[in-house]
Amino acid sequence: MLVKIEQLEKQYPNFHLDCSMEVKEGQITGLIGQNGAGKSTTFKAILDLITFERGTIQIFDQDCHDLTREEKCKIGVVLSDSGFSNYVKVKDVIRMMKAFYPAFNADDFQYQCERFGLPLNDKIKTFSTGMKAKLKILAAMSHDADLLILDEPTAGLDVVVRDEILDMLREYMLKEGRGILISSHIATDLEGLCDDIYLIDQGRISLHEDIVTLTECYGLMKMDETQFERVDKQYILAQKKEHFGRVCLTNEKKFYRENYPDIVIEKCGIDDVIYMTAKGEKR
Amino acid sequence: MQIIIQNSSEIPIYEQISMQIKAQIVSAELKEHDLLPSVRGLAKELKISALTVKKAYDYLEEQGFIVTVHGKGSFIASTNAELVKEELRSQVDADLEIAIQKAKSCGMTKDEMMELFLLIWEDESC
Amino acid sequence: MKGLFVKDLCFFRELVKTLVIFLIVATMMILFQDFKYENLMFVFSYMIVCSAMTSVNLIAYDQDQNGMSFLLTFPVKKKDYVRAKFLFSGFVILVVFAIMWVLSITAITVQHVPLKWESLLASSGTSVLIAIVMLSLMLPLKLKFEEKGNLIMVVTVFAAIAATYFLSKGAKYLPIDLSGIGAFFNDHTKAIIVGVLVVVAVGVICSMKISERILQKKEY
Repeated sequence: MLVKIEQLEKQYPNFHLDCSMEVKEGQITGLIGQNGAGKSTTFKAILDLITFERGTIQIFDQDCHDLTREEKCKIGVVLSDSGFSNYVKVKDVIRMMKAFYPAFNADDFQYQCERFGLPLNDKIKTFSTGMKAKLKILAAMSHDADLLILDEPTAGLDVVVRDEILDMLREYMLKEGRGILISSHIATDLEGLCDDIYLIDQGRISLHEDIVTLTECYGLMKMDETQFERVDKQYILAQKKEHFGRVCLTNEKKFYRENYPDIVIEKCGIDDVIYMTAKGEKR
Repeated sequence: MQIIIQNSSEIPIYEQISMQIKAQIVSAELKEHDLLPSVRGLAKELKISALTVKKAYDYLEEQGFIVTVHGKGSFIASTNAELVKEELRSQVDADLEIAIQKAKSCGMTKDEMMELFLLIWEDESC
Repeated sequence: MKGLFVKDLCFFRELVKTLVIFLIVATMMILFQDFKYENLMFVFSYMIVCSAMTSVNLIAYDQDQNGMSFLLTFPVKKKDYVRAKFLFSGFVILVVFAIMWVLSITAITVQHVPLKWESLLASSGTSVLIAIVMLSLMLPLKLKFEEKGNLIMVVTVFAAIAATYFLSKGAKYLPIDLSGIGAFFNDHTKAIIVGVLVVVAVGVICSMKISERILQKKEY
């Protein structure tokens, strides 16, 4: 287990976080939720940047407060609201990384920076949002970490660069024993990347499924009112009224397909699940 | 090894993968003891989650088409092609059955059905 | 630790220009004016305190754009951060101290003024002590209150000066003989120096501990 969060609780004046989750070796774990749902708070708690009232967080089977410098070397981090200072150049970043991480691969980092169009001799102040985002991800992947903790790494990236970065993450995973915890408020960014998905809503984990179950068992059913009346509702997670009748979210697509062949059942994406659990009436 | 997946299809992705691997075993594109790409490697190629690939491999292993040696990877098992063909034949059997049932339910005769069958069979594009 | 030092060096480049201008002015004041030990004392302490403040102000660069949270994800412990700050400031003070000594000796030789080791040592030593005290006060303040730390510092220093001024004024009217204190100082110079050193050392250790606590409790 790379990360294990048990009953983490953190109280803010208008917000309460209550979350448990795991990041397993060999898996990419996604945390998806709207802005302000508690993603960054969870990440900051993992990284010992904030205090919390209750619960435990373990990284590499160690309490997150007691990580040694060597263990911290094995973690690569992207934070959504923080990064390298505006006053340094990429060249300085290379100098610093070299001094911080014994395993930092300077040649490869420089090559990647050039490949992604990051000038080595310009101050980061002059960089665009996308360039800063690229720099942060490249830095997190540059020192042979076993665990990547990436908070909204794709925010501000255009589609082409985003896909390139996602490919790099997949390549990173080719080495055994590694794992990634990644968050985004855009589900489609993480579909096709993550193995394990957590949805977070108003500080609570509202859903946890592996991607195979999510794509195979979850579905959206569309039916009129009479169909809705007679259908067995035991596997309906949420439903919502539409002009034609009802849309229902189920996690047992197969059951309905076999028993109610006349009902329209569609494949559903993570976005649909988020939408239905947020807007629909829960059973 | 070439695999093409269709994201919009109703067929689960793991099934698309396992079906295509099976087809390649039948056509002898994949031979006994051939090494399959690693789970992560194939996931990267296909831009899908590794868990999906793993499920496809598990499924193939369950049916005896591949063997996974821990630390070495997955290999094509020593199944004979006849067995695979048999498997596929039973699938065709099942599909035909459904087609015939449908034909009967809308009142098609045997001759009409045969005619349709030959028409589709001889269609170049099929 | 090494990483934090390299990082501070990178930031220091931003501020080093100001410090160099100060140094040039100081050089002119010492070399091209008639040499007086009182002047030297002033320039010396001014330069040392300036360099200490400059290095403390590097914290602002760490804190810029919420940078502290990212910085703390690097392989450093929170106590490393505090230690590195003291270490780097100490390094800067040492460098400026060395430059000032070279300048002073040059001035004394060029202008053929009699060399007074004791006086030179006393003035340079005092200025370093003042710088260290300022540093120990500033560091926790800057960590706790970020930019507001500067303001609090200015107000505190001003209040301290005012208090001393009024106390010394007021003391005249009290039935205490201040000359006794002066005599006491002259009689026990060595003991007092040792005492001051101990107090400063304890102050530095307290400041480090307090800064560490502040970092532990702070929410980034």
